[in-house]
Amino acid sequence: MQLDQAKSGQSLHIHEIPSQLKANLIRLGICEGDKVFCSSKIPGGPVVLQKDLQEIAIGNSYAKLIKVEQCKS
Amino acid sequence: MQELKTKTINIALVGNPNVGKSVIFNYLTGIYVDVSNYPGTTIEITSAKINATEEEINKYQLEDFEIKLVDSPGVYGISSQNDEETATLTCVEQANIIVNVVSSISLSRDLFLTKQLADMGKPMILVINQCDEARIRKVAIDTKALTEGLGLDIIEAVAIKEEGLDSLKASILNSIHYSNSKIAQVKTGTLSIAVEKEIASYLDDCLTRSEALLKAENSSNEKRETIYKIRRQEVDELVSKVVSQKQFSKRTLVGHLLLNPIIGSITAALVLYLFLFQFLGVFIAGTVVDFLENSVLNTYYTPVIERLVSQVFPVIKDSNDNLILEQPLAAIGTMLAGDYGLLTLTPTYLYALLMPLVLGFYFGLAVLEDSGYLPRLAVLVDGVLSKLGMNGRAIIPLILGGGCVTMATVTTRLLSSKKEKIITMALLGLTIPCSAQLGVIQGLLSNIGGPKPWLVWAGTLFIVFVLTGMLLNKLIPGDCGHFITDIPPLRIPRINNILQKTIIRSKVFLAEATPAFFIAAAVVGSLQVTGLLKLVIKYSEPMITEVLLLPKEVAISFILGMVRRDFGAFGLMDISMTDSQLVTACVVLTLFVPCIATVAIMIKEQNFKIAMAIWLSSWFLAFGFGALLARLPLL
Repeated sequence: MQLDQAKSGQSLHIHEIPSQLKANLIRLGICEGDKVFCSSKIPGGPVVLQKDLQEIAIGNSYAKLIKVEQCKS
Repeated sequence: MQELKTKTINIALVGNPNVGKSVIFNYLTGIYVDVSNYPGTTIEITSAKINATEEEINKYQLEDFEIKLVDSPGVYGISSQNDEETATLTCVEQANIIVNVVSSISLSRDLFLTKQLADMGKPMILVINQCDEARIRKVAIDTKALTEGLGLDIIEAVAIKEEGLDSLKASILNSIHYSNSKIAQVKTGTLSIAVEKEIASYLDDCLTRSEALLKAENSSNEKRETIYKIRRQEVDELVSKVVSQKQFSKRTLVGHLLLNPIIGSITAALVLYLFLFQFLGVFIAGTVVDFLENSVLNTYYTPVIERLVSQVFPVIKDSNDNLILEQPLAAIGTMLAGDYGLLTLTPTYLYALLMPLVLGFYFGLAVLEDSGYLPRLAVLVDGVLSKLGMNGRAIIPLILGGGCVTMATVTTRLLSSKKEKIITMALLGLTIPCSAQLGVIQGLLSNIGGPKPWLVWAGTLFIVFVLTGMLLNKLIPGDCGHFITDIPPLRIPRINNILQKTIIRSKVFLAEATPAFFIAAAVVGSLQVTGLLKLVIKYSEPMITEVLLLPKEVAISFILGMVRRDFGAFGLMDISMTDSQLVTACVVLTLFVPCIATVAIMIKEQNFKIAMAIWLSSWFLAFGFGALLARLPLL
């Protein structure tokens, strides 16, 4: 699914990041293949991802471009 | 002495936004740079001499050195993606030694830059700052393992409490002492073998390792991704080895609640109401201003001045209370102590009204910044702002506008796309009142009593804000920019930090406002004594009385407001109006034209056409909505 469909409280596996976003997100700590936690989702707004102690908000228009998969745990 | 200094040593402070570089700069040089909890505060590069004491100069034999410290803008990595990164790159290239500052609670993010700097092969000292935050959050860092992993000397610090900064200073001075004796003292960090392979083919053609690295990273998207991925992996591995956290603290929970759509929105509305209405309006503009104006200045200062001036320059009025202007002495008297007196109203306005309001606004802003609340607000409003052609980041200039619209207009350059810049600029110019105006307006509204006038004022502005944004979003082609932001952890605001910020910013503002106010008072005073003021009022009267149904004296406020936004409040407090007239006046004044300084910045940041379009449309909006409001039975 696309990241903008993620719900708060889900654990997600990052599948694919479009290339225009990759460099930026790698710097902030998020890479393809990472397991992250969706700590918040503002309706019509950003998705907040948590990895370790880091929290990163990704706007809706970008979140649509990122492919994720819900982790079964 | 000056000629003897033969060698300049450049030291660059480099790090992610919001890790405490500016505080360290302040400690080492004694010079203050604005510290804020959002990226982009350090747009211009500040550099200053490190203030070594006599004792230190002797101890480290530094007589022949000039040691310069450069504070670079906060960046997450170095390439040439934006102005800040280009500026930081220049700092790094010119530096003899780099002081890389990282935060103890965001190592996995911050060390990415550290590794990049290490791959550039620069001598470097690593400062792990905000160590107290890690302790509070029960995060343990194995510094020994980190030292080994990075091959760098590490200093742990709590910059805000000046912990560890003396050893940083000692280690900087010591390294210069040794560089004098040709012994390389500052380590360069372990080069990544995998990255080394990637850049091998570039090393031969380039003079420096940093040049080769950046050339490789910028050669293609694929190459950059490969190198970034290697670096990310190395950082993540290292972090997982050295950082351990077992439990989440309460503050993390609060941080999450603030990002919850419902709880977050309620909190945001509450924060806005408490800050604007209760704090600025009721407390500062009401209680504090009232005390300063009536119990201090109007009791001990103004009557004394008025008496003194009238003894030297008697003001003569005829039976109709008109000034007899043929008397030059009376004219001087009026200029000095009349309705717009240079010695009476001007100081009262500056020190009893403007100063407490500006202090109050910057105090509130500093609390919001220091607590880490602003980025959370940006996340909450991103969805809404994207409907108006902006994104969450635009909340920063919009809030700063509440302090000074001119300063806020400068910060629109932090936004990425032209479209968001123009829309943010337009909304700032049209709908955001600056601190003095805001305070006076809040004061006037709270005098009427009850939340209703405030809601009418805020509601009208909100409607104008939303409609203008939606319209511009439709009209201006292009992309409203995308939003990715890192959310710093919440923390309890530190009182020293807040006071320092409040005082420095207020000082800067008042230093600029003071002469402007005296000039304005002199201009209005001379308009009054020459009788021109009456003419101005006469000609603008129909606009004010017919269109807005307001008393004609309000014209002066509007005319002054064109020069400087905060002048608009000049005198408005003394005109007697009905409650609904007051609300109309407050709305019109807020919507009315941005001041000359703001227009100048708009022209500089965008162009003349855009600035004029914003300026002219504010006339229509102000008078249109004012006329409408004056005729609606809202109160």
